[in-house]
Amino acid sequence: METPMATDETTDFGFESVALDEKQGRVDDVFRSVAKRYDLMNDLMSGGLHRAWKSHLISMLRPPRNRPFRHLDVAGGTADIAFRALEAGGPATHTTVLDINEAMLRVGAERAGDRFTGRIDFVTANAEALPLPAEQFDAYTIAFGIRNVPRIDKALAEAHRVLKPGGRFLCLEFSKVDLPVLDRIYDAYSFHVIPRLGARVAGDADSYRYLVESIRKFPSPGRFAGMIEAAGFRHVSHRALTGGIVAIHSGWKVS
Amino acid sequence: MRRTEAEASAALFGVNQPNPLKEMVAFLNRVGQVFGIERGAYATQSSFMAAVEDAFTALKADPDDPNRVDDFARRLHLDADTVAVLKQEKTADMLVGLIEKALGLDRLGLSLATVIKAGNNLDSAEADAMRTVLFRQAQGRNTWDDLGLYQPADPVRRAAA
Repeated sequence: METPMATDETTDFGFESVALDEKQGRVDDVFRSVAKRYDLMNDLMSGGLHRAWKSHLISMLRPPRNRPFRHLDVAGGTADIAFRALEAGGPATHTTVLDINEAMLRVGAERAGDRFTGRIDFVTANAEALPLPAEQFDAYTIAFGIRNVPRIDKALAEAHRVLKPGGRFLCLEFSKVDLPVLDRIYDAYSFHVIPRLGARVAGDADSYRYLVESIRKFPSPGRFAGMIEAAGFRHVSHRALTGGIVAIHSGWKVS
Repeated sequence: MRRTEAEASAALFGVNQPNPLKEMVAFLNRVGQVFGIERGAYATQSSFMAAVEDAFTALKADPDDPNRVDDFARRLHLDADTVAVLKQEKTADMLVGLIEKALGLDRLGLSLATVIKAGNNLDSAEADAMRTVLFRQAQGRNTWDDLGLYQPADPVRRAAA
């Protein structure tokens, strides 16, 4: 059975229910704490699978090689998705990496160095209130970020606003494991192994405990699809990967 | 006779057993129908698939052709808002995405380009991938996704079975 979501005034922070305004600050603390070791931890936690999941996202994004393509990657701090999109696309593919957390963006900017000069920029901003004009982007991606946003409906509305008509929304997020044996293994791994890994590698077990709990509190794929539709997107679909550990959600801006 | 035709014939008229190639041929026929191309109008599977590939190339070259958009809209049951956007689109991205969704390719993890390549060369890696996914899917069995990882059978197909 799905856990009820928090009320209008509160939201989930892992398994806790906190005031909406409080969540963002606590999420910031989590990511500030883990920023430098974030990609290493992703590799360790997922056994490298996050790379394959992200590659699959890029295969759905299909940045063109022969024409301009404006891509916005939200919650994209370390620029992992951006680099993949820019490598897959042509010289006229441009990615704006947006994240509320400056520490994460600094890691991304450092990693970018002189690569992709003129094709990438970094913006510190809140996904719920994008400081960007309407109808500017051909695609909006958010990978492992939407569950950390206090007001998901606002972030989805902003995604819809900044996309051009015909633009695509793609969201890679942890999902619900729907295989009987895998779900128990996954639970045991998530609640016992990941926080210990977080403690040893990133020096922060609590942050990784939050990450695991936030995955469990995130809406089911069907429910999230309904939220995407409610934001105005059409032709919404999702695809489970790896037994439902993650899912890629897709929607198109039509009007 | 090319392998495509021989295998297609064997799949259609062979023993009445689950057959990956039969699943593939049936699926390719559905792809053709989305493009308004009927298998029955062609003498061979290869000429049919060549026509589908030509139509796909034409779609990518001229995505906002209003007549073509109207034809796809009818076949895909698209609403007026979507049609209006498609007629202004200078790329085929959205229409290809909608075709993939209509065919269930997004759930299967196959792109339209992959499927058309597979249909035109049954010896290709694309054809191997497509046969595997479709066969397991048709049996309602769990399959291996394109990451080589375990994935449940498509719930839509399971419910319909």
